[in-house]
Amino acid sequence: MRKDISRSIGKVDNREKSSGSAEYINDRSWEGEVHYALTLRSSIVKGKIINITFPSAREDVHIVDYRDVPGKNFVSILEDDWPVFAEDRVSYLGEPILLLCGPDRTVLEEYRSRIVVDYEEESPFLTLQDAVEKSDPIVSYTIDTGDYAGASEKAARTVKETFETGRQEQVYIEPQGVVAEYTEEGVVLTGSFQCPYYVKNAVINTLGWSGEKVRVIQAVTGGAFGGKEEFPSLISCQVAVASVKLKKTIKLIYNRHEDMEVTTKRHPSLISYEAALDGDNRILGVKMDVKLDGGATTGLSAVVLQRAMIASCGVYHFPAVLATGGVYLTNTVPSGAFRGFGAPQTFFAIEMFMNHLAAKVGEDPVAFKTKHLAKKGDATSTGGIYRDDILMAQMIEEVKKMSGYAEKYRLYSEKGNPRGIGMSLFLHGCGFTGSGEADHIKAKVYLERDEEGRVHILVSNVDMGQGFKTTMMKVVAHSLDIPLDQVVFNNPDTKYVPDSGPTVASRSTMIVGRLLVEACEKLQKETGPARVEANYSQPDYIKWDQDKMKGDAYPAFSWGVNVVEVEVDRDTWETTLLGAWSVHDVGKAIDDRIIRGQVDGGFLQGIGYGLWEKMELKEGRVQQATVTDYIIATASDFVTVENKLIDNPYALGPFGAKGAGELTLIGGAPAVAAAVEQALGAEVYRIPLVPEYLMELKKNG
Amino acid sequence: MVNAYPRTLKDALTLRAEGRRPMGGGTDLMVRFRSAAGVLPRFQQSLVFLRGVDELKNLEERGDLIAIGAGVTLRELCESPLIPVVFKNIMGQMASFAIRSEATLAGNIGNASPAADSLPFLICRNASLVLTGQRGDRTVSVADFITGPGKTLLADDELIREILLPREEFTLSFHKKVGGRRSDAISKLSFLGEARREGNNLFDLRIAFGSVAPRIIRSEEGEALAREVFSRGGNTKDIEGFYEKLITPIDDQRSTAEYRKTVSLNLLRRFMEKLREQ
Amino acid sequence: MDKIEFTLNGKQVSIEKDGTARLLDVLREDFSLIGVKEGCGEGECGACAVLIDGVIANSCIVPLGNAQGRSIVTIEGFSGTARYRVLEESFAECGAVQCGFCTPGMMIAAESLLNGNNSPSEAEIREGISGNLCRCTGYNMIAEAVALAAEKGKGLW
Repeated sequence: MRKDISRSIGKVDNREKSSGSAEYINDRSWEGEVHYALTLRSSIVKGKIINITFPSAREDVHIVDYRDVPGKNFVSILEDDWPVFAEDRVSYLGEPILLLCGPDRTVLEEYRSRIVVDYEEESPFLTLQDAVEKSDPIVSYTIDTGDYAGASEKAARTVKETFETGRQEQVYIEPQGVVAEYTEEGVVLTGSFQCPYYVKNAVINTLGWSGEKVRVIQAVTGGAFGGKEEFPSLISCQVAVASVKLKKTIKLIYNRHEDMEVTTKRHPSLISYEAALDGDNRILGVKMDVKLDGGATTGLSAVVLQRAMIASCGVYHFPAVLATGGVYLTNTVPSGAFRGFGAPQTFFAIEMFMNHLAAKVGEDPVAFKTKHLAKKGDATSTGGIYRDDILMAQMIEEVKKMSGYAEKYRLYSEKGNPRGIGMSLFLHGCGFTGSGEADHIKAKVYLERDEEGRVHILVSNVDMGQGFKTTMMKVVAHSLDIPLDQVVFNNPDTKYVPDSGPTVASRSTMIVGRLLVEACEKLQKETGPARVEANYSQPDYIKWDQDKMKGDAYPAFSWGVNVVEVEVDRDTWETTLLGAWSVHDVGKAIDDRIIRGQVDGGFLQGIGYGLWEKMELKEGRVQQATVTDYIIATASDFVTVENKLIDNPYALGPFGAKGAGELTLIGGAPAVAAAVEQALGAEVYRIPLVPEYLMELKKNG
Repeated sequence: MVNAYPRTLKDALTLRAEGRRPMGGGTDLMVRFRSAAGVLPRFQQSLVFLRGVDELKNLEERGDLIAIGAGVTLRELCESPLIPVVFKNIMGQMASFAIRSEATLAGNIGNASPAADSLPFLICRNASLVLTGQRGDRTVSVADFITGPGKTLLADDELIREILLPREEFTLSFHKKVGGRRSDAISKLSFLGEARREGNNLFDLRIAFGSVAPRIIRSEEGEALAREVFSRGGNTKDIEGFYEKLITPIDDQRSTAEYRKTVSLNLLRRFMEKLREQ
Repeated sequence: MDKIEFTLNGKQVSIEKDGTARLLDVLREDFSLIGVKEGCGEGECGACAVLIDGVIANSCIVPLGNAQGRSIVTIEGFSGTARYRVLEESFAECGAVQCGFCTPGMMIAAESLLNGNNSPSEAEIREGISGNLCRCTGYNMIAEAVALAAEKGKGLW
């Protein structure tokens, strides 16, 4: 099948998903007796557990808590600070204390409702502001490139602004779920996972077992968006402990309310920017600070912070950058991975800051931004080098043509006009930050030809809806010049697949896809049944100093431009979308339609982040913990996106492909916020731009 | 006691009098009492399912009234030529197709949520309810029927039998539901203003606000004031000032009191402007 | 225990169970119809949508007792029809399926919509699927798929 690889094909899992026969974790049937698991959670925000009083024991209710953990009672992520089960203290409302397991869910519910936990409450940090004022960051970094102090001294003026972003919930439509089976060989975990090997390593750590006794299988996964990156490790450890203790199959499926209350969210942030401008209104340098609310545990926050800081320059080149950042712990639901991973926060801030700077110096925002665009050969924020062609200028022209931006912008600039149009420019670094791919992930893939000549893709990356199966099968079929139906890609099972890394960081297509191309080259040299492997090696020119945050943070960048047009109702302050346009450079699309799916879905998540998706906590409790109250868009809220892809093949990507999954979310919030600013005639400094906030902005000037 | 599935109204009333909670479409009750997957909802009483009672499915003109049986679904109302367009539009913004196909109008009234979207209209139109019990029927206005959030005049042995909607014509009906999104949303607030204007004569004017007080707000005094302001071409600020005192919303997970109040008054002003322009 | 009888995917069935049980649980657990999904459990997301007497309803908030004497069709029953095949093809052609968890419900919503209006406008399509939440696609490719199905399936609805 050697034609243009971008030509779309039907996705390989369309049929089973459309007909309802695809088995998600809650749909599978299991051999033997299944025990359901129900979680008892902290009902206070912070304090010591003094005593737990249980109703009288029952044969059909089993209690599993920290005392049953044979290995470490921590979820192995970056730091050992996320307990599998709370021991003597709790640090957020909803923190898991123990599991109740048994065959009858009604009995379990009833039993749980009669457990009484006595606490000694302590004074918590409920907000980021609170933690910033009263505590030190648990992790902090500095990026110091160029000479900001010098730039600031030379500057004709400096401008400073502060921005704030809220929590965002992933709302994968399939809630979290995992099943642990106890077998003679060990424990088998099947679930809705992004990262089977994260789960495996976490369970090994918690059980204190050797690797061969822990097997992890990805079930069909109903959306993830980062929400199934690290959180499944927690619940997998819990059911693994229960399964080993009770020697039973344990099934843990969250309902929506529970899922929204206790699973990880996008980090709330406070971001400040200061720019030093010369007499010609060119930016000599920026000083930036980002503070992230990590929630109650460290989790992945350090890496999220790195991304947020590395994005400090947006798509621009500033001669000097001084970025500082810290993660603060609060007594709230843990923050974690979410598509974009720190970048959406920073891009909202830098894009709004650039718009505001343009207004202050009396220039058109797009012209002002264009003057500062990074070009090939320029230094990145961390002093690395943009090695590949940057096509942003062309992409901006393209999106202007598609959207009629210039004329609408002029028209809507008239005072009192209820409409607005906004443009955002963004990028996303593909793959793990710095030398993460080489030092930590060390991806390995297998490709195997069987007796019938079929070629099996053996990798640990998953299809969670983004079309990874179809994409990789196309890569292999094209590379080997064989029909697609000769390629087999089953859901990863750690018994068979090597660790090719997690399905995160816009790395799977670019890094794992590339390894599969290499494996294909090796396989072509073999005849008959054979297995080949390929291992990741970092390009020599990539140098990264993690402590100093210096060097090439990413091997490649994907780029995008979004335009959004809105109307704001002056009576209700509701924002209606009128149009949405996008141009992206993802290297080369492996499948145009699959990329369009990423673009449309990511764009709407990004717009939602900017406009509707408000999640607030009151006394530590999530207030919008249902899909009724947490507003994700319906079909009636969105508009058709006109989208264009610009080919800019990346030499080290499969067929030139770079990452695309996260990129598409990042520009939504700043584009819609810019549009709302124009419609409103007021500057905005925080998202989401819910009507209540717009009203307040207008009232208070 | 066990759940019951009567086929006649007479049986339904007997079963109701035994202390069973009435179940219509279930779309509110099943959410309110929900437990977990595979676990029965937490109803504290047995239920009398009314879906099988054909006598409650009437939908007809009766003199100057439209009679809507308690078993009629929102979907059936949306499809009926008897129902005023403004009401169809209001119901068309309630939840989603998949809920309107099962939900009944009587259920929306009986659950007496301050955010029930049918109520501002029914109260604006002076709709009434026929309540029926073993002791006979009585008719009460929808406005009187609802006494507070979740509280009604329905006695323990009574059922809503039908809704009686007067047939009236208005030259202006301005309705606005403000929710978090365009579909599938619960109201932060809603407004309905209706008027019958011929030339400079204003024959009728009605105003109702939803979700901004424990009960739907409708005031004869306010409407008289609005008529008076309209006739003398006065400033709507006076009317806004009057209603501002009646509007006593709350902060909750969906919106703020301040927003609800401000936007309600903005919509009132917009209605008065529309009336002037008519 | 209540005895509830209804037609399920064309077959007469009978079940003894409390009538307040969620139809969703009955379909999934008593009849093994796993294409009916639980996304929110409060009637808001549409993943559990089924056809009751030909019209879409959210089975998570339909009490079993209200199924008495009616005809329930789940995705498993619907997928045997010519209309389904046109929808499936159109969904594939338009890239309307991503994670797939909302897809069976979307199919039911599309069927219910087209059954009442065989040439819906874009706005009508968006409204028709607006009770079904999808977090992957941004809905556009689904709306296009429904429009394409209406076109391709002329005469079927």
